[in-house]
Amino acid sequence: MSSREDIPADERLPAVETVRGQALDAGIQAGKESDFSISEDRLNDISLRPMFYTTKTYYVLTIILALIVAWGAACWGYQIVMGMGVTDLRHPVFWGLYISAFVFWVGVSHSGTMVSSILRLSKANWRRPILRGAEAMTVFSLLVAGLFPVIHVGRLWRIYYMFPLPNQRELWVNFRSPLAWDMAAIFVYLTSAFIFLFVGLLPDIALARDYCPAKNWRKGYLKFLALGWRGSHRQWIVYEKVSLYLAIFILMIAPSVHTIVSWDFAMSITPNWHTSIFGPYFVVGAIYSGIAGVITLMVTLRWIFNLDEIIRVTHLTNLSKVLLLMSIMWGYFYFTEFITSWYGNNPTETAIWRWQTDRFGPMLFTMLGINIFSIAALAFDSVRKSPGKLFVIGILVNVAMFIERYLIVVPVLTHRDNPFTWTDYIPSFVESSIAVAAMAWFLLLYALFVKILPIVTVSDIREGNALSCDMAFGNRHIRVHGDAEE
Amino acid sequence: MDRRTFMKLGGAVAAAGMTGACGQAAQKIIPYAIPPNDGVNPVEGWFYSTTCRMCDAGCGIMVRTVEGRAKKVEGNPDHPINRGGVCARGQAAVQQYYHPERLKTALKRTGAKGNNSFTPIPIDEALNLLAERMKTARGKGSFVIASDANDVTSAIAWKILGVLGSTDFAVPALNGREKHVRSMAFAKGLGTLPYYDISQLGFLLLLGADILESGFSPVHYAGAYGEMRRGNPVRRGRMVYVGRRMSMTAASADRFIAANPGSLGFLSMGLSHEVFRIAGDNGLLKKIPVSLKEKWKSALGDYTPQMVMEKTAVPAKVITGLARELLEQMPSQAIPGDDVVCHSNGVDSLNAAAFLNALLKQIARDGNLLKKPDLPEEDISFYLRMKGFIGVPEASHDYAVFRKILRQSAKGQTALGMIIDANPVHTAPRSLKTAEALAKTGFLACFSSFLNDTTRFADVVIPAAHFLESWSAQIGDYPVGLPVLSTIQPVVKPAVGVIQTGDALIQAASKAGIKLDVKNQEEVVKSLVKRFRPEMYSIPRKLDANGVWEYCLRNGGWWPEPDKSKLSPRYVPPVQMPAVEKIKIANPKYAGGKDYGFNLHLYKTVNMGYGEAVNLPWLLEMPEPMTTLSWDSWVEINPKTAVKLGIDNGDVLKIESPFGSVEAPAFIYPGIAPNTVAMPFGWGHESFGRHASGRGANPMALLGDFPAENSDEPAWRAVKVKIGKTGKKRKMVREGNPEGEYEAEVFQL
Amino acid sequence: MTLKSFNDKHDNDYHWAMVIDLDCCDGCGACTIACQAENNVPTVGEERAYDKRTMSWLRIERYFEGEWPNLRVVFLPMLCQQCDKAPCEPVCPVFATYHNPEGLNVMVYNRCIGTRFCGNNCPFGVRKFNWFKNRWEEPLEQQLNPDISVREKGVMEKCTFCMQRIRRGKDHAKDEGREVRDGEIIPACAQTCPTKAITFGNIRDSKSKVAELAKSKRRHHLLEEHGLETHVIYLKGGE
Repeated sequence: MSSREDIPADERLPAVETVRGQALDAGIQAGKESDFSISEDRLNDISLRPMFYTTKTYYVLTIILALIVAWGAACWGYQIVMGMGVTDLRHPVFWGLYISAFVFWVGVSHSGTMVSSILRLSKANWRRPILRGAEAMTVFSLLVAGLFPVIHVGRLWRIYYMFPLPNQRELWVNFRSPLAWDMAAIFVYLTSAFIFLFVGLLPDIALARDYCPAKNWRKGYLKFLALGWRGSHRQWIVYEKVSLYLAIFILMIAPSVHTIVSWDFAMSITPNWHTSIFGPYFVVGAIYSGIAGVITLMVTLRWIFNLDEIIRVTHLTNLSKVLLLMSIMWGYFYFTEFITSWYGNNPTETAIWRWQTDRFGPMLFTMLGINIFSIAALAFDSVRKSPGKLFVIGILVNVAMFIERYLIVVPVLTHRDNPFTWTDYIPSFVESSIAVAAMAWFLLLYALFVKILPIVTVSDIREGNALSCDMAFGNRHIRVHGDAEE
Repeated sequence: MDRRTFMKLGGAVAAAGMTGACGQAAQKIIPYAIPPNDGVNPVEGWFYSTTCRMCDAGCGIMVRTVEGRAKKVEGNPDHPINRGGVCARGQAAVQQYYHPERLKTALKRTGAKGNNSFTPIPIDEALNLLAERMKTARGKGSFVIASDANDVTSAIAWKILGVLGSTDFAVPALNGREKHVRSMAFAKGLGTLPYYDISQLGFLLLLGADILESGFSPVHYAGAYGEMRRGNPVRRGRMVYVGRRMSMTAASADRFIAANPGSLGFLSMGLSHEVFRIAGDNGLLKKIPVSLKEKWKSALGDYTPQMVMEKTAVPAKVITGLARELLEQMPSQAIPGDDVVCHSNGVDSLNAAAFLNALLKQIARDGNLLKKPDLPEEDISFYLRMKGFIGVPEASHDYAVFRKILRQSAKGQTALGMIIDANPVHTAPRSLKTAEALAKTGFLACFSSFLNDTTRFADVVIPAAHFLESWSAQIGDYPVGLPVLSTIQPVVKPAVGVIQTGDALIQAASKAGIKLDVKNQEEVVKSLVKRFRPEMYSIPRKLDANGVWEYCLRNGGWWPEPDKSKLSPRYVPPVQMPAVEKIKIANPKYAGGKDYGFNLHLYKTVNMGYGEAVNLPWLLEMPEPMTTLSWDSWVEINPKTAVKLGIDNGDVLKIESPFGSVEAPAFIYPGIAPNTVAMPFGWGHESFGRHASGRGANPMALLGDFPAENSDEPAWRAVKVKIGKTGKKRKMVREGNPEGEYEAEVFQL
Repeated sequence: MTLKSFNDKHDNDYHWAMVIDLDCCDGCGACTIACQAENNVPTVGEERAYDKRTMSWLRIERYFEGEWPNLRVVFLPMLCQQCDKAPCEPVCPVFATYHNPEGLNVMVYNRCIGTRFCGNNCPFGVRKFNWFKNRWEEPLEQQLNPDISVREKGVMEKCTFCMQRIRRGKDHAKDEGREVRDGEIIPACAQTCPTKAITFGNIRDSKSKVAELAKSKRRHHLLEEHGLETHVIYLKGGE
């Protein structure tokens, strides 16, 4: 199957006209071709260009990222050889930056797949261009998140003790431990997110395969990964079904994953961690930071790969509305958490709050400031319609949410029940290096992904395009969308 | 079988497996979580009874050895000094024994004195060098500086010193011992250290006495303290501390009373005044002759609460209250400590305290206020007879002897000096110029396990065996209500390359032609036990000489039955009333004029003492109990003073006295008087291995030739200093949290 | 058999407990060094001690109240409280810490992977983590107690109530076909305590000294509000 012509006619990718025809069958009146619509070839060109055309800047950036990752890996190696003492963790601050980063990255992972599944299920048409980017973000941020517990453990070479493997003493994993739940949850989430991403990718891989020049090195793996996708009617039906079920499945898993992550804290008897609000609070915080992450990434992609025609301001605006909603919800949860412990006036807890404002004051107020600022800013339509401003807000929110995770983990441990052991913790150079390298690792994975697989959900957009048309009401043309299955 | 069938079958098998396994899962998993024997397979070891020599208190210990290696020090529960307890320093003996820096060869000086340049030589050669000097040193001035005067090694050294025609045997320590002894001679007519049995007390008044950390036997007093507190189920002994600093002992007291420095003699007299007055009012003095009462009245008359309040800053009401408590909660006692002793008016103040104690005891006896058991009287004469076996006179503890040695050495008048396990260069006030004097000694032989500040000036260093691999015996330094002979035996095979100090001395002496009629240290110990046998009145009579020897080794020595009711002290002196009319408390005098605004309060910490074992990581890392600091020395300063002077924790301060200055990081400590700074002894070694060298500041640099009245020992609590910031800052290893330390209510204590 | 009933089961004759009389404790710290010597607890050096990486299983906490001269001091020897409802146990994903039938929280060092969750969940801060490889410079390693292991880097450790001594005592009793006698097993800290503030024994034996002392009106458990059922019983100081 080296070229499109070899494919039997009935198994070829449906031409736009065919889809439109189906749409017409579904009862949608086609109007005149809109100015917004992109021709099929142009859509392919724009969407697949990031994959096939690489600039020098890309190489420079990738190499820089790779160097940062290499430095982080070296730091990790140093940590494995020397012991956990190269961090600034101490008695009794046993968790620090790594666990904060873990929670942060799990949080970031939340929006991608979850939002994409929500949007898929709710059939929000504006979802189409952002799906892939968001789903990929989930997988990669989960990969990064999953790395942190691995980096964090004292005896990495024995980490397989965490897995339920048969052993001589028939010793099973301790399922009473939130960490065991956590591991299971992350594993399930990562697996399903990966499958979700891959299933969504299938038609686009096939498209890329067909689009790919014969001599390009990508041809081989694209052919393999396309799993023989022809775009036949049956394949599309199966595809739609799988997508639907996966979306439902993911929707159930995602909140449970972050709830379980929150239980790492909430299930302990540590003051300020031991609260029932942590589950929903973490989920909301996760979606909040995740949406901010999606916005940031979308604006970045749009800017780097000139995807203005595909990722349009409307999409960003819609995302920013979700962000606003989530920021308000997060604010509510934060307030609830604070007010209950303030009102409860438990001496240890109040001491921790005092300590937070005292030792971590700048961080606390930065975090609160950013979140209040973002709520206020997002209230303005002009902000919501400006990709640049949204980008800044996205970055700021993620900074704030990282700080928030840090403030959940650290102040409590530096200032817990036994006052004699109160201490200070400032992440060491090694720790910070690894945390920064993890960021670079995420970006690097993303950058490589862009080059090996289509980052834009071409087939979905095409579906959307096919289902949409301009209707004439008098002399005004209004764009309407339909759905193939209705 | 096609694929589908295979999958079905596989599923069925898996399901069957699951069903089978589920039923017993919990029973299986949990017991398997518990390893057999909890994963511990203990080894049997041998316990050898011996005596701790980490300080000279002489606690009985049992050392657990496994496969010929010393593993752990345990207290000997039968030993009357420590009753099973061991302090942190004693526990660290095993680490000292296995210290990587132990000397394992003799050393001969190659460079100039003080340069620390040595070449290793065989021990025999070193002993030859020493022997040559012994031959020529006869009558030309020789001395011994030791860390203890009560053990067999000292006995051997003393004997050799005698043959060399000298009596200059010095045991220099800034512990006020000679003043204590002098005061006891004044109060009881017999010059020994005082002993206070606090275990049965109803009320204990500590006059700056840090008995639990820096007294003559902290472990013994700690045991008695525990007994005083909770030994008696119906009554808890009360303890009040008067002093300048919240020491570890003061922290254990029920009440802390701040008093001016050098004023505790006045307080003792004032308390005697009040006790006398109140007891008289209550008719408790009826048995005392009127003439005596008149004498006391006139002697105590000046020390009214108002007058004492002016001197001590203790409110008059509190003084009267204390006197009342002393009377009401009999048996009661006052123990004078370093605050009393080591001030300019030390001896008189001690005498005043001795009078207060005698008065209290007299009243208690007369008024039948004591419940059984009575306070046992120490058997001083017996103890003195025991000490006679060693031979080193009590006077060797006088600073005068040490001063004399230094004086003569500085003039080049000593041909031979031997330093046994002591480090006077570090532990003597810098201004006495110990180092300079030792550098001028004709030939200096140091018997030491480690290279230290003093061995720098040695001509030969002889690698002394550790006490865990030595034979020795010690007469309990002062009676603990009982006479004690503690034996020391090797618990492990001696290391190669070391020699017991006594053996080295005997061998060198015999090479020098000095006849001692003993072959080695072990034999001296044996003969000592043999000579002792007639005195051992509480061991089975039928034991032969060998039996007694084994008895001693097994038990760690000999002492009478610990049961006091069975003990019949041979000598019970009546309550001797000191001649109170001779006690005249002088106002405290200070070294340092008006420029010097702060009182200097030096003290021994419980883990470091005078720094003998400051090279042990266990002790270095052990947080000092009151400050929770480790790994470095510090200077304590009151929080309010610190605020006034803008000093923060870790600011390096320059402490300047008229005699010298040191630099140490500030530690803001709420338990120190505002006009006082406190520093621990023991730090600041110039040369003591890599752990101790250059670590911390040695406050000996601040002390000078400022003898107390009636004594040669420097009055080291009567020094004034000024402090200044250097602008430097130092990290302090502190276990506690400065804020958290005030949050005890979390634990509802 | 559920997990709860396992933890609660009373079919064992021994339940070890410790009574610490705060009225007797003078804070001298002998116990800390005794523990270090007995249990192969390493020293970490000045730098690491500054970073709060000391490994001591037992420490003396010193608290202040008030200010000069009306200062009150409380010493609190802090060691693993051997909770019956130990918060450290359920959170360990690999069963490295478990409850043994005699009421002790025991560590299996070989199972530990160093998630440090147990340390986080311990309100007393008595669990210690091996941040680095510990070294014993020759010949200091000869002092190491052969009864118990030297812990690897990356492993949690804590007070075991001198498990090896308990085992030895029980072995001796078994050899002689009897129960362990009261006072026969003494942990290193209790053995060395100069003031005899520490008493150790079987609290299930109503005649034992710990059981007697535990009846005291001064009895106090730390952080009782957490419901941990600690088995280090403090007797409050003061009159």
